[in-house]
Amino acid sequence: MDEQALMKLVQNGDQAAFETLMTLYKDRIVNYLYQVSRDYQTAVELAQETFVRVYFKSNKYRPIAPLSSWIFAIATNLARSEARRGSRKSAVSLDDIANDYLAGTYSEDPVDSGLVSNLRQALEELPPRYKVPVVLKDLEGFSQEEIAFMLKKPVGTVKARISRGRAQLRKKLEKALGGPEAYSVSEVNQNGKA
Amino acid sequence: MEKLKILGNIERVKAPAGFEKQVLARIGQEAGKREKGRMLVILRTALAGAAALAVIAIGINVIHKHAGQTLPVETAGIESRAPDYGRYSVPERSGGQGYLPLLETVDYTDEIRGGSPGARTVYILEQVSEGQTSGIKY
Repeated sequence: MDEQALMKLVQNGDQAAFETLMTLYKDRIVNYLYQVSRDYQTAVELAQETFVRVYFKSNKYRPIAPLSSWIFAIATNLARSEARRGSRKSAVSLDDIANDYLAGTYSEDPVDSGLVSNLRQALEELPPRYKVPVVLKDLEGFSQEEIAFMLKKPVGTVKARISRGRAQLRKKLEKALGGPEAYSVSEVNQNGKA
Repeated sequence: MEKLKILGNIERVKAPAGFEKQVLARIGQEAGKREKGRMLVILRTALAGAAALAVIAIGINVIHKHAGQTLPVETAGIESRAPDYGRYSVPERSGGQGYLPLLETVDYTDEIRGGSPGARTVYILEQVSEGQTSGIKY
């Protein structure tokens, strides 16, 4: 079913439609919030709160942007508030979480695994103002315009933040892997291109 | 080429089992809270309105009482013209309670309109008709 039609049903109080919507987006939202907060428990709680807000604020949705942008915008606002509050409980490592929560999309190759681990570390160290646009762009695959809508920032600002975020990631990766020769600068850069 | 997709290959997590149920439970709780909050707002507004009405009523009552005691029209200038009661001996009543004499200065100068400063003319109205007399009017 078309997302807009689904949303229309949700707006009319159709609970089954809302559950379908949740099924469509729950994994993406939990993953996004996890990438931003690096705490699975927080990510799940924020994702639940995101859907609660989607339910109660569904009447405020206007189809001027894709539904996904609107839902991700709510999730982003919640993640921001949570980061500002700084009341994060003890972080739950991914290692402590049962394997079935992991989609297992990354390679089990030991070399790649190390690289991914370094990248994860570098991403974690990135300031939120760069991390959020980079995650939305490179992990969730949103366009710069969609990210601008979500963050309520001009497209130029979003472009600059993505660019700076990637540059910082590159620098951190080079440092972690022992210089630029160990990890080509262009690799992250090319990957991030729209 | 494999490394080009490295950012996209960062591990992804999924929502835990029973996620939807938890969300629906939270929605139920939230709806209850919102209803309660709405009722509280109505109650608070009603109480505030009642309190405001009570304050207005008390205010009006106080103003009326105050106005009844010292009406500005009646008291204007009386203090400045008040006689010095100390000059008079206040006779005591048999009960031992004193009383204040009410003194009023009466000026008849303006009572007769067009009166001249000289000798005043007194008109004596006497009946000249043949009817029954009604007495002389001064």
